[in-house]
Amino acid sequence: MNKVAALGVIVILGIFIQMALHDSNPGKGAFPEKSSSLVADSYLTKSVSQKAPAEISPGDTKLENGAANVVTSVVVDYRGFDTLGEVTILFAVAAGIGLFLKKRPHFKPRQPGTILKTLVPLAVFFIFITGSYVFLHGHLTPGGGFPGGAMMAAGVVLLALSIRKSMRSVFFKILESLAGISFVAIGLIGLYTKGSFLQNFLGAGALGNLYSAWLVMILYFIIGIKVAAELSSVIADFDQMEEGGKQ
Amino acid sequence: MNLTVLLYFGGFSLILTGFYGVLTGKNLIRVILALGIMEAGVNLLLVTTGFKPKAIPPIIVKSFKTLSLPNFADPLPQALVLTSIVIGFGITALSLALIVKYNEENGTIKMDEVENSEEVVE
Repeated sequence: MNKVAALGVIVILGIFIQMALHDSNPGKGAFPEKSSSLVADSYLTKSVSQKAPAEISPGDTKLENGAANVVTSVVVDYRGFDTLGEVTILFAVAAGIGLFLKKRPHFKPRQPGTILKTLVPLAVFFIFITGSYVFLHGHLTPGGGFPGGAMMAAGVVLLALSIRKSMRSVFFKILESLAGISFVAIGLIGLYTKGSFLQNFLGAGALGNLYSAWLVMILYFIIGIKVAAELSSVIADFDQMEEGGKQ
Repeated sequence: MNLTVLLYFGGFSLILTGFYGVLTGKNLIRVILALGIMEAGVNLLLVTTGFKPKAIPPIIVKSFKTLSLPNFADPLPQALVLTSIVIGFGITALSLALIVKYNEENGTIKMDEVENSEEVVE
């Protein structure tokens, strides 16, 4: 009976989604008529607040934004305020989990095996290098702070498994708060020097170089550290309670 | 079949599958998994709105004239989905923590088992 009702609800929802996808009114629907101007075009030609140059090529200076990877220039530069909100949600998640799962008895961890003990230092070395590569090259290649931070957190988990002392989440929470504060501080510097929150105050640099798009690079470095610390603190919180459930 | 339509259909059916799981699931972990499936469907649908056949990724590696843009994939939905994935992680993690608390209170993670043995406190 329940299942039949659920199927009915799903059919109705399906009809609604279908209608929304095939809405033919201008500006709606998933299959629009060939639209003359997309927002994305001005992101691609780097002409949101200034006139687009006639030609864009790698090595150009004096662009509005120097990130070769347009997706990261959208995430961190044009919509940086959005990303600040996203990072705040991550902070709220980490804090909420810390609140729910606090004050639990620590448990005697199982000793790690030989394979784990010998191989983890080697693996963690490469994981950290790859993670930091991904978030430092966010403005050039696919990736950025979020996947890079997740990789670093995976390394931290491996280390915790092999060393097997119960992790403390306080250290990670402090690191994360510092990263969050510096994110806001960089936004405020932009507000002070250029008149708008999170505005690029460091110049664009040459498109396609490693040392370009300074704002994107610095913010992604901060986001990478923040995400890594957050994920590690979440895992540390869950880890602490494993035995606490039974007692 | 057109690839765009196939991608839309994929996202569409993932959303509906996940929603069915949310509606009928008894085990809380399964409900969370169903939410994850639903989220994957929404992300696929969003990313597909920026899909163009034979488009190149929106990374500037060659010079181009701004009047005649090459066939770049739309970067905006990709940036939005990046946000949505992170929010999805947050939802999953926080609800798992809530399930841990639920398990401590009730000794089970199945919703119907609690309803049967419910005692009116106070």
